[in-house]
Amino acid sequence: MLNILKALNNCPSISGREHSISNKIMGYIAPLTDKVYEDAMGNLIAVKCGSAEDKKKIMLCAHMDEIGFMVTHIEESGMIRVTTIGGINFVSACFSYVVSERGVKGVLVPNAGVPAAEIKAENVYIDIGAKDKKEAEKKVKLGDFFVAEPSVEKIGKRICGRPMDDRIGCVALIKIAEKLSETECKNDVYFCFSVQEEVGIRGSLTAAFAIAADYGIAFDVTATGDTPGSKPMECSIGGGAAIKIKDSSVICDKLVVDKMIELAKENDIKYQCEILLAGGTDTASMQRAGAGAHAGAISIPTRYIHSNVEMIDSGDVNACVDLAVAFVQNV
Amino acid sequence: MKKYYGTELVGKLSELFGPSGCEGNVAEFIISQIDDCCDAYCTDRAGNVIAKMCGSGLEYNAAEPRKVMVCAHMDEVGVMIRDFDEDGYIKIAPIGSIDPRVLCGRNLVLGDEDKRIEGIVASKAIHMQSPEERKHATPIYKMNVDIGANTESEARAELDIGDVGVFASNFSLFGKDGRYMKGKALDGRIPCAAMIEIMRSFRESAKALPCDVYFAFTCCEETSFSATRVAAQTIKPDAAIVLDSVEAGDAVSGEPSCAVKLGEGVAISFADRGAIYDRRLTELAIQEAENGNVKYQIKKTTSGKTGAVNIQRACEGVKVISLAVPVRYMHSASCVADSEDYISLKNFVYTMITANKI
Repeated sequence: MLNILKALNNCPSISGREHSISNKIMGYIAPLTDKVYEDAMGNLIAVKCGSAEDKKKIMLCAHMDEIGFMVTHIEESGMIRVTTIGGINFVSACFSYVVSERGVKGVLVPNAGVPAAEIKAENVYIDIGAKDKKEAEKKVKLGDFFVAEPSVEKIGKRICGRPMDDRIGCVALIKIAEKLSETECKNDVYFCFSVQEEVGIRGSLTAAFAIAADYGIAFDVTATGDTPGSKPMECSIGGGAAIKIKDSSVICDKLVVDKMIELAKENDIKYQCEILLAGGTDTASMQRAGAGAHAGAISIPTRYIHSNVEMIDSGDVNACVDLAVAFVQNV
Repeated sequence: MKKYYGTELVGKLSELFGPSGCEGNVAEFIISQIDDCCDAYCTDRAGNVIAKMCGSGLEYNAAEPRKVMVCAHMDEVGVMIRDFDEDGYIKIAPIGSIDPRVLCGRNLVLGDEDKRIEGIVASKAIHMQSPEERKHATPIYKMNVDIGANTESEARAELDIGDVGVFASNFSLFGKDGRYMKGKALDGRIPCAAMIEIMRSFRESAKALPCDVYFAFTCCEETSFSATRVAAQTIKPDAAIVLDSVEAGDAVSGEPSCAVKLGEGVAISFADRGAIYDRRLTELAIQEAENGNVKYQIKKTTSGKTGAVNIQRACEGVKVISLAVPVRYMHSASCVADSEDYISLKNFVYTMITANKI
């Protein structure tokens, strides 16, 4: 798992620029499934055909994109101005190493004298060590993107780095495909690696429309209530797969939630229920696209989401994979 | 004044009455301009005009034709009558986003294209205003529109609640050789004019199009993008070129180095608040502009939204790109645009489609 995670984290791909991660995932998922294709928006969809006579269509979805910065302007001084893509946490982003899609390294810094609480896209810049605009333009073009430097570290029993959101969900999907490839699969399973989730759940909407699944299950990170000062929330890392009941974008299908809890108990899979107060997921679009689907999510509890040190527990990821496999084989 | 630029069509469109929800009259005019150059057209239930030009020739795949949508919006910002007072003044609500400061003291045309009741947005003379009043713009809901009626019943004899209005503004050309265009509603009508002229050039040159091209003249863009979604769901295109305008901040911006400039050509966006545009198509477009010597600029900010919001995410998804003509003083009675940019926009779209780069 760690190797796949490292490989995926090392493919910087902000929303709308998922080419690199998509290619990488293709290499893992193609041998495990029957058909792989990319749609107009760039969603990568792999299909594993089921054998049951009354088989259903199940869409499993994790987003490939990550938050980051897009270059809007290069100043005479060679400093690079950017806009944000997705919800940036500037406390974490500032004074950090960033890297561009072309591999250009830089540091993201706020204008001098800006109070921490007022830092925003308009008053930060990226310094790539260029002496002037001309030199900077050789390395960076308008529309290029930068992300905070990717990383994966083992910290105690946990795994830490970025972007866990949502590469760890993509890893889970690949692991599910691995497990399903070892047995006979009952239902048709559509593995959807979606685009543009971080800018408002855009990609999975069109994929879900085209797939028209009976069930849609998202795999994404969720916040936890187990750190100092965190909002009260009954979800912790190491607490098992988080069965989503609700987030700010969706109220999960009761049928799906109940079935997941039942299967977790039956199969001795460690689980917890999740009610995420702020944040949306691809669950929402799968529920509403086309004629709608029974939608739910299995979340990976994650500390410090949208920072450079997102932290997860590998036991939780394994529980998510086991629960997903039980679900697609028993629904 | 010389008219080198072929902007008569923009002028006619600019002066038409068509606030969001009441575009019928603009639609009618557009149909009169295109019915002999397209293969088919219709007006859908949302009020969009959709015209189709079929592909042909060697590059055209007749079995599975590629569908390209080109769209622009017909509607303009305006006002809606929401009440009358006993002295015959009219109370209004904005349709679309209008700065109250550009509305105050302006002439309006109320009713519809035929009725054309003149109204003046009342303003208090500067020397009558208290120091506090001078600091703040009068909010639109507090404005009075004077239609020369002395009582409520006199006013109601002319107009009704729910009637709409737009800026009264004649189109004109100004600057050296009449290069610059001034008028209302230029933000949507310049792209509409460009689409009409592109259709004419396709027809006149009898050009074999490599794909089926659907020209969608859409409604209600100033209030939401839902009519645009309807058009996209009807057409189900493979790709869409979304034509719109972009505020040219060169005259008023605080950060001129980042502003889109009038006369610097078509503005191409990588992303805005509504959509991240398809990268490959956007890069192809830039390449094509370079090859075809079409003047373009990159929009260096990500403000604003276009109909791409709903086209990109319609049905199974659509690849979208955004081309915008720079316009100064948008959503006012006097939008200003450069005829050269209009020509660039036409050439750009023409080239992209005929070169099969979309």
